[in-house]
Amino acid sequence: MASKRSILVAAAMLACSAPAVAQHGFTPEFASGATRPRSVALLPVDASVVRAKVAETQGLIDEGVVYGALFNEQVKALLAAKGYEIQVVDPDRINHDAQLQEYVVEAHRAFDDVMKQYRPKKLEKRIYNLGDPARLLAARLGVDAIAFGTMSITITPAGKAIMSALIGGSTAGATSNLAIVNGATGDLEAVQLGIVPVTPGDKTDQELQVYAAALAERATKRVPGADPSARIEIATATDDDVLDEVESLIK
Amino acid sequence: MRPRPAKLWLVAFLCASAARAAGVYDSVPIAKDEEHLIRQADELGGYFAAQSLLYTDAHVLSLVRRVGHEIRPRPSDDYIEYEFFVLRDPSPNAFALPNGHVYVHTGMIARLRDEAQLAGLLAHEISHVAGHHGILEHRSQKKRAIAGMVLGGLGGWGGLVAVGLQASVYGFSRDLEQEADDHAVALLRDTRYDAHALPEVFDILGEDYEGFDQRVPTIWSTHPEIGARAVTSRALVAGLPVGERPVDDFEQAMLTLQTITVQDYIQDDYAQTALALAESLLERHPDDPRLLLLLGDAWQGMGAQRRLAASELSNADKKQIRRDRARKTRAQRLAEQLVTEDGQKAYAENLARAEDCYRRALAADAALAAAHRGLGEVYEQLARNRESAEQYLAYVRAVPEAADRPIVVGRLRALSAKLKE
Repeated sequence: MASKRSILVAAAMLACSAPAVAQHGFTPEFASGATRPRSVALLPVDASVVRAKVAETQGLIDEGVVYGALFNEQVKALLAAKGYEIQVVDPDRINHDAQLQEYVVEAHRAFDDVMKQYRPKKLEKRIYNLGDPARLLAARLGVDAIAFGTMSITITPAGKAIMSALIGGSTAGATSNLAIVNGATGDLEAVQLGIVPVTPGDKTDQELQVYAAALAERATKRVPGADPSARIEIATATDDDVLDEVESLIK
Repeated sequence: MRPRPAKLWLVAFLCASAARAAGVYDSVPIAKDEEHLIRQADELGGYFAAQSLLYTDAHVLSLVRRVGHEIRPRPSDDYIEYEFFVLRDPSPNAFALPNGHVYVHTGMIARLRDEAQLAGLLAHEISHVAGHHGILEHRSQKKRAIAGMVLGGLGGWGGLVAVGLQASVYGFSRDLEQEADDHAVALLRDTRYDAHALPEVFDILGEDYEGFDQRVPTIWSTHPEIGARAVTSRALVAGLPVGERPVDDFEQAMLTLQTITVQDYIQDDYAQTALALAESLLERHPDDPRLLLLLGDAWQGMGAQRRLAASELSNADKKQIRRDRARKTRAQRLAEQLVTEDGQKAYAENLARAEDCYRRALAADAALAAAHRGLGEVYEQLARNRESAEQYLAYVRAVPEAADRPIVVGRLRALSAKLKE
């Protein structure tokens, strides 16, 4: 009897918490649509592909750049399918535009700082803000939001996997993160995590491509579709109207 | 009588030490399973470019490369090719890769005063390359990692031995750092640059504006304690003649980089560092109104903080500062400080200092529109809405194409609503 009651209580708790779980990783305003963007710029992904051997770890740097770009292309396709206008900001474009490079580097640093303090439970309090760098970057790119992606794939040969199982150490795996920042306020609106299991053993290029695509899919699958009708637009007056109005007010 | 093997070893060791001290290193061929170290070092350039982290200002790059190429030794191996890069990163750091590529952060260059100090820094990094420290460290860590894993699997005692091996890894690294310092002195001695600049670089690195560092270093530090390195290298250069300290070209080439770095520190909430560097810049260029503007921004960035004297802080104070920083956002810390009377007083004083700097900047150059933006920000924080709106308006009217126009217009929008109330 007692066990039946506890099962019922557990089921009720699960039912009650379902909406909360569904909203996890988004601010309430993003979830409701009020601050959900129409257009998003995807910055170059901070990607690493690592081969952890028995006695050393090798970073596959070129591969990281290649699969990071692939991850972004997948994210672009998946979010576009949900109705967002996506622009991928590729490194070439950034490196040929000094002002844009300045904004990207500053926004990245601000983002890294925010993520050092980030606690998922505190996201809804809107305490994580990237400040002017994010706003300037969004204005420059003409988008409602900026997306920061990270992706990491660790490959371990079978021998290393056995050693790790016995005495600890790095194991094979793949994770990704997609964070969406409000371009008007600089607030962090969404942080989505993707995890993909990786089997021990060396990997071919094709297999790595599959992991990158799967990470993109996991990081975007809970992002709700674009809904411009729910979005609350704060400003309606043009810049010139605002300036004229302020001028008359201070006179 | 044939010399004993032990004596031969001693002679060989002394010869090798003398050669190293004179700036000459033997070739160190790399094994097949080490080739990836060079490949990775080559690939890192592409990675930094992909992350848009390479600082490409032609004046800065040209100066750093000129100094680097002037002091570099002849490469001892065909996989070494000395090249010098600058990374857009405000942390004071520099590093060298086994392929001869040396990277210096903008935050490091911004703290230097002249070419001789830059030469000292580059000489240290070049010495890591010339001494094949990357490869030696890799070999050492690999051996210890294998031994550590085997011993780590033996239970408690094995674990202890493994910890001991790890400690010796760190010790080895400290030795290499010391060797690089010694070798840097030897390198500088053969150039026109003043070798006495090297200990100054360690003094600069030892500056703790934010009150973060532990006063007492632990054996786990990778680098020997910076103060001790300054003392040791000062003793090494004591008898050397005074060399050249070119400063004019350096200051001209670096001013923009230094300004950007101070702005980076303000942006990243390292206000104490920003303030110290801005004051130092203004001291050297007292007639530059742009630096008054920068100092105003730095005072504004201080929020409700009092100026720190790191030497007066205890380790517990520093630990608390680091903990607060790790757990609370800038806005949260400001809100907490503003609850206290001392915080409110510091906030008002900092804003008053910022206002004074902006006013002086405008007096020196009435066309410096960004000072109007600074005044607008100060008055907005003081809830002097009308004055704030006037200053923002002056800024937007003066620079209609300003990159931050959307932000300033957004503030005017909010102020307009307040003025209507």
